[in-house]
Amino acid sequence: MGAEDSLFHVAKLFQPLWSISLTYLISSVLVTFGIYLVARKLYLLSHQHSLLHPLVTATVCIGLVLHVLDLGVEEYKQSISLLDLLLGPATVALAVPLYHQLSTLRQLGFKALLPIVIGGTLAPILAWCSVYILDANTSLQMTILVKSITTPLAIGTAELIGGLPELSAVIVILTGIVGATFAPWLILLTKADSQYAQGLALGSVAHVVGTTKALSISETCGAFATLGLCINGVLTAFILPLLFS
Amino acid sequence: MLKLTFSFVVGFVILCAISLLSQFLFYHFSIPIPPALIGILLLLILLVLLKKVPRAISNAARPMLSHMALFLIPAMVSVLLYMEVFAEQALALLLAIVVSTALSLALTLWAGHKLLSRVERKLEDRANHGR
Repeated sequence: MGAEDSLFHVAKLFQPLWSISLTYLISSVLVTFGIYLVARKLYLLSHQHSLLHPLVTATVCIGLVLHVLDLGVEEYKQSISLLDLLLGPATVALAVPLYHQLSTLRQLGFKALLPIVIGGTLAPILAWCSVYILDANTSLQMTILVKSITTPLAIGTAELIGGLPELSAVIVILTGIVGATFAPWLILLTKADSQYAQGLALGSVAHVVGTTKALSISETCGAFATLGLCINGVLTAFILPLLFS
Repeated sequence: MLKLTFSFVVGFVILCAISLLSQFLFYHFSIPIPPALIGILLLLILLVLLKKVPRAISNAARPMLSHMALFLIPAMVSVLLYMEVFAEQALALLLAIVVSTALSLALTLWAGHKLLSRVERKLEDRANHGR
């Protein structure tokens, strides 16, 4: 592919910004931002209760608003594509916490890496088995494979391996919420009082939502969750496309 | 305050530039990994080479990461378009999301505990003695 073609592809990402009326664009971004701020406030007030994750409350609110105003979801999505574009740089920022955890990783070596790999392979395989047994279609099978990695990477990976990117975002968020909700019980059940283990498990199975939960346990736990989140995200996003595209 | 804003803007521009560069590389060389991951690796290499995180980058990264949810709203809103798929595959999705997540979390916790509890005690002891 020539450099010009590639540049054209990159430029096409910005297309939704020009193709919609400016008033609608600005007003929907502002309204979405407002809803997000309220949802976040609610989450913080509830002491970060996993079931009240801002994405859940915000999506429900937006759904209601669109329904009441009788607006199309597709059109609305296009009008907030500015937020979608910012997801790119926000994901790149993940390199910063990963860099901060590199020394821990070097110190502990495979002992830290192994639980992440176990969690990172077990979760998608078990999930894939359950949709396979129930005879779901191929695109759903592919989508479910990315369920334990952080949403921005999951969207990109699902796209590459023939899954449904939008559905993957939803599945990933729900996985995170389930993981963070069950974690306290599972920690008691497995008697895993090691904070390193708790952090790694939460980060590698329940990504960002799990990491927030880990941070509420302790700072060490949160740091290990960040490590699990980053390593599992990078490995899964790297390996799945090699296997399935 | 003004200085902080300025350094945020600089960092933000750097992050955007890396993100766009990774999109370009993704198309240009047909790299089979998600563009976002290419971006993460590029920044990571940069940080390793610099041996520290420049103030501007960390000032931009912190708010971007803590407000990641805002940037995910467009993707999440798509659930409204996929309601039918959800209803159709409810059982499969429930099994995949709830049961497999709980199970793999439990097994990871157990494995991590077996591997790390001794090292953790040693490191924590050392940290406490150091004080």
